[in-house]
Amino acid sequence: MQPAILAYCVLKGGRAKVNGQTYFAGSQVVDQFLPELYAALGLNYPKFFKMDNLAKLAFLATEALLQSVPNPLHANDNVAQFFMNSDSSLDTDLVHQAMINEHRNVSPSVFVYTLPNILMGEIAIKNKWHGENLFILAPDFNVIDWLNEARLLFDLQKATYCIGGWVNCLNGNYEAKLVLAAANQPAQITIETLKDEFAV
Amino acid sequence: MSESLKRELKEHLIAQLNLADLTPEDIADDQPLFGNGLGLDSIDALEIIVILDNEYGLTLKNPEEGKEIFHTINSLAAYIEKNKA
Repeated sequence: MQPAILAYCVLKGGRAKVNGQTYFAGSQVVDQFLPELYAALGLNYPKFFKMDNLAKLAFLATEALLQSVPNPLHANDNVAQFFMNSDSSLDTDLVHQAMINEHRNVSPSVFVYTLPNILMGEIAIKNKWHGENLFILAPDFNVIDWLNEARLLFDLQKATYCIGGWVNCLNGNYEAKLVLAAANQPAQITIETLKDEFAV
Repeated sequence: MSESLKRELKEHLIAQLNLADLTPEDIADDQPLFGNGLGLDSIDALEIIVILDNEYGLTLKNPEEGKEIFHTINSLAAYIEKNKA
């Protein structure tokens, strides 16, 4: 079953684009851009401020996608998450390592983000999703591979929706390219559009 | 009990626990820090243990006491005043 693409978004360089349209433009500095986008999305979720930048990036990209679709996804909608990146949680791993090198007490709230898949837990908790989740490391993002995995989940009836894509953050550089796909729905966006938008 | 210590504790909590939407004035001295109070979680409890060690040189010897000590700003300040050399 070919996944129906409902929405997509790109977050990078101080800009958030949803379905090809600029949703928000702000600072290019990641530590400023993320709280600015949080405010622009009208969110009220204090736990956001405890996340590391990788988790914040994925969390906000997911929220931007969810706000763009006419029908909200619910806890019982069987939503799968599938994310990938090239730098794992290295952005936070380096902070943790620096504490060890300086013989300081390590911070539990830093340590907890020294795995990239924790971001899927944050998203699942916020949305009360209990579906399948997968985080893989890859040199770059191939949206066709992502869609093939979504199709497999739909064919095996493991999920009705699949959300995720590429989310990478290291040393101030950040990029998210996320997709929301569904089984048994009319597609809103073509694969060709996704390939063009994500290639930039 | 020292008002300055309680304010200092609130500032440490806000900074170390990334409570970006709060100011010291938002945290009442007798407000429960966990559960339905401030809503802190188990990772925050571990972070408070680190704050006690880093800022006050105190190591929690009996983890069973944690629930009582970490109940409010008042109880945390009382523990520090009692145990700090």
